[in-house]
Amino acid sequence: MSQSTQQCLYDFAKMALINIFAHPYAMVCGLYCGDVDADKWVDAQIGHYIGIVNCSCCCCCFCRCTFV
Amino acid sequence: MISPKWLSSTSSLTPTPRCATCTVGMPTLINGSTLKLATTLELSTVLVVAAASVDAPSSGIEQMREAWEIHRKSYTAEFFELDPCTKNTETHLEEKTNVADVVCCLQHLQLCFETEEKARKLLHNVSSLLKPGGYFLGITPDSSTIWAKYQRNVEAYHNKSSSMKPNIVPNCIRTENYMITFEVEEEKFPLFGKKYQLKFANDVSAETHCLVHFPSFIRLAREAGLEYVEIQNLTEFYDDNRAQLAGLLTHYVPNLLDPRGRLLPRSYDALGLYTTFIFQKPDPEIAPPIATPLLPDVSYNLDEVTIRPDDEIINGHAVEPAIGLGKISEQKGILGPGPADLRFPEAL
Repeated sequence: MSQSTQQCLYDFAKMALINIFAHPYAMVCGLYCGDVDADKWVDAQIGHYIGIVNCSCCCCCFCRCTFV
Repeated sequence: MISPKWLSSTSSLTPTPRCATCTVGMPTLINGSTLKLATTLELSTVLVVAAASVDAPSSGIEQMREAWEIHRKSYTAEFFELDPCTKNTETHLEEKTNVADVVCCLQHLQLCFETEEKARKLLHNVSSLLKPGGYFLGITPDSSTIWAKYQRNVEAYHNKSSSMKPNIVPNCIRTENYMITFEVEEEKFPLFGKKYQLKFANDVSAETHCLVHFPSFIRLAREAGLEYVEIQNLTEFYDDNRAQLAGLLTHYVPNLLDPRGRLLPRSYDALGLYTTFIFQKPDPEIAPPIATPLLPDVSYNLDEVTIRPDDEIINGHAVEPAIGLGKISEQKGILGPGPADLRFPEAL
């Protein structure tokens, strides 16, 4: 099994949890979030997302995104 | 360079002079980026709006319309650079306490179980972020499953000790899909700091994790004001919600399904390495009802009960008692007074 396959399984599990617990206009806080994780909440129609990132983790948002 | 997944914006969307240079598929920065850096406080704030990639518009007006559409359909977001298992969120995110409906940790929970102090700090931070009734949930490697696999490995070694080299206890679990290696051989599951490496097939390098001792997780959560709801291995989670999750499976892992739409055994095994966890911050206003309802204390004062006299006086006139309350000598049975010769001359 490749990493991408394992990642697909992981993403599937994340989306499953989000679909079950998210509701419209919810205030969601993500710990150790990545930009990919924040994207997953778009379809859930939440109201606001607070992302708490830790740059010592290689997958965190700030390590990947560049803001101008 | 702008991340293709985010647009920076203010409440008022205004096109920038860069519109003319926009290329296909590249999103454009809207005026008013609110990126702020506060490195001395270890805190950075960025206000962004999550959105899908923006196709190149044919004109500035079209671009503005599309940006508005995206903005309207998306949620607002803000990010803070903070290590939640070492820093206090109440200090850094003062306005964000007791407001979240959901706090999720979809990865890296295991990092906090290096020490009890880190785990405690994380859970107190979660509790302070959540509003009453809110949920703390996420996904983490299933330490119970991993530890059980390791124990079976050690047991198998002891059962076949004569066929193996002496003094070499296997410290790894090896399958087609992955390899799990424990750094130190220990018979007991320590509460914190038990490290192992997880490497999936075709991975270049392994990831280092700490086992999460679930009883300690539950205890520390309770101490932080979070009630345990469920910790469920992903295979059980999948089985329990299969019908509901069928669409997601097809979307995310179509090549891992058999003709009947179920996960292949190899994928199922890999899925079983992870677990969901769910906790809830109790809401005092919707506390469960008392099991036995309390009844008001009813006391009867018999002294206040008045026995009616045989004769009543109403408006100064004596009133005969109601029918049925006559003198004994005149009472009749339901069959009548009976024969005269059987009557006594006077009441006994």
